[in-house]
Amino acid sequence: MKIKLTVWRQRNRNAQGAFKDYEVEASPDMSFLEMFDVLNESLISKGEEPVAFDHDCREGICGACSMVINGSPHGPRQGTTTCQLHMRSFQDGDHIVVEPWRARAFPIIKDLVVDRSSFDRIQQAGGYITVNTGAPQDANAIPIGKAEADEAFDYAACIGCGACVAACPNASAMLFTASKVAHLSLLPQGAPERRDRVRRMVTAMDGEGFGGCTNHGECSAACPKEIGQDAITLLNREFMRAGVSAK
Amino acid sequence: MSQGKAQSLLVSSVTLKIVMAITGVAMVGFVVIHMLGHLIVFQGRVAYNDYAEFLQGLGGLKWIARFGLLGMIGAHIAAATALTNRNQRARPEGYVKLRSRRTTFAAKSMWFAGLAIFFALLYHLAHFTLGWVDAEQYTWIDEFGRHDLYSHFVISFEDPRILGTYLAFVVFVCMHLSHGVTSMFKTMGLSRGRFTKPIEMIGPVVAIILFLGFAAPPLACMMGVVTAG
Repeated sequence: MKIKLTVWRQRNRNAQGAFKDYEVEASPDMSFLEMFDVLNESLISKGEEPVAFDHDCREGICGACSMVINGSPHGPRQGTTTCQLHMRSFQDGDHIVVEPWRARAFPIIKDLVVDRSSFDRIQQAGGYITVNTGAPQDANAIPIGKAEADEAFDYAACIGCGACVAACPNASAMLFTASKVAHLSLLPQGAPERRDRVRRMVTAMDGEGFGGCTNHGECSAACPKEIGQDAITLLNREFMRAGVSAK
Repeated sequence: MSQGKAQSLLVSSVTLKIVMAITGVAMVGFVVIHMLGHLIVFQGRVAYNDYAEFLQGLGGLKWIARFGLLGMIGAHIAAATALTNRNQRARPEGYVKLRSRRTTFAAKSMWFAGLAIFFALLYHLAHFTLGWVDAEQYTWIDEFGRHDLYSHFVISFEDPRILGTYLAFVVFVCMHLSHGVTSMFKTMGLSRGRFTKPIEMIGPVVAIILFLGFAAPPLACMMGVVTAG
């Protein structure tokens, strides 16, 4: 199948970027990233600079791939990362526009690669638990309800790819931050840092220059792990709980 | 309390959203009572003017409510301005194309609708509270010697220009609240699990009820169902 690509090219952080058109001969069985591999091989053979893009596991669990494909982060398929998106989702002769995540807190490093270390700093601000050193205790020593465990796991599924920020009209990192806060708030292991976690993570999120949440729901619609907006409700609840706490 | 804590609780985006929600609840409460009050127009001149006299007779309470609402409006606009500025700064370079999957027209036009409501509200106050629009109608008195708000109301809405601007005002309010009311519940941490779906519905339902309640009296005046005679 013949694909016409329009790709964002930007030499480095400070350079002015622009769109460039390419044509690729792809197979419907290729993943979207494999189609880019084919493009890059042809660019290299022509002596041109290959398109830089983030990728790692290519099995939908690492959160490295990050492309806005025809206006949708990770492309048109619900609950699918770019690496798990296949060319069979497109038609022969399709024109596909590929852009990087766009947010002040995700500066472009090169072409489609953005710097997502702002997410690391939010995580470092409070996305951890206290664990005593010494021998591990029995796994069944801490009772956790089935419903709570399931819900916490839904939020823990966040791979930190940043599609929520990319899709949000305000470039807000609320769904990412909320997933981390919600995940740990539901488990007894997360209880010791509960108050400070939400305060610190929200402060870090705001400090990085992300926008605020206006409940559009675009984050959740774009999330490859289909994390619901309930996470954000939980963050708000945790924030108010911390706010009324005397400590 | 460390400075970091104090800062996050005072000016964080989540705090501003909580300000939006709390001031929003107060204003929605006012809007609902206002709508119920205006439905009294269907009971005729005496009932409607009685209601107006009752509200005007509240004295100190009336002024507390007025200043309270002004404060709510001020805080709502201040928080909205701070949040909108932050949001616009968060994406300096936009996409050539960004597809919306879930958001609504109402959600995307919150800022515009909010501004439209603010200016329409100023006109509305100039019309019915300050009596600047129809200065002569504002001096009418009823058989008990009170300000005849009923006739003022009915005659005003027989004018298609006033009816049109008023209906546009109501549409903006309802659009704003169809997203705002649902958003309020989400911000206050109430929209979770089995409550999520009903709360998605509550904004649009409140908006439809308010539209019907606010549009019915002026439309009845225009169609001659309610007359000043």
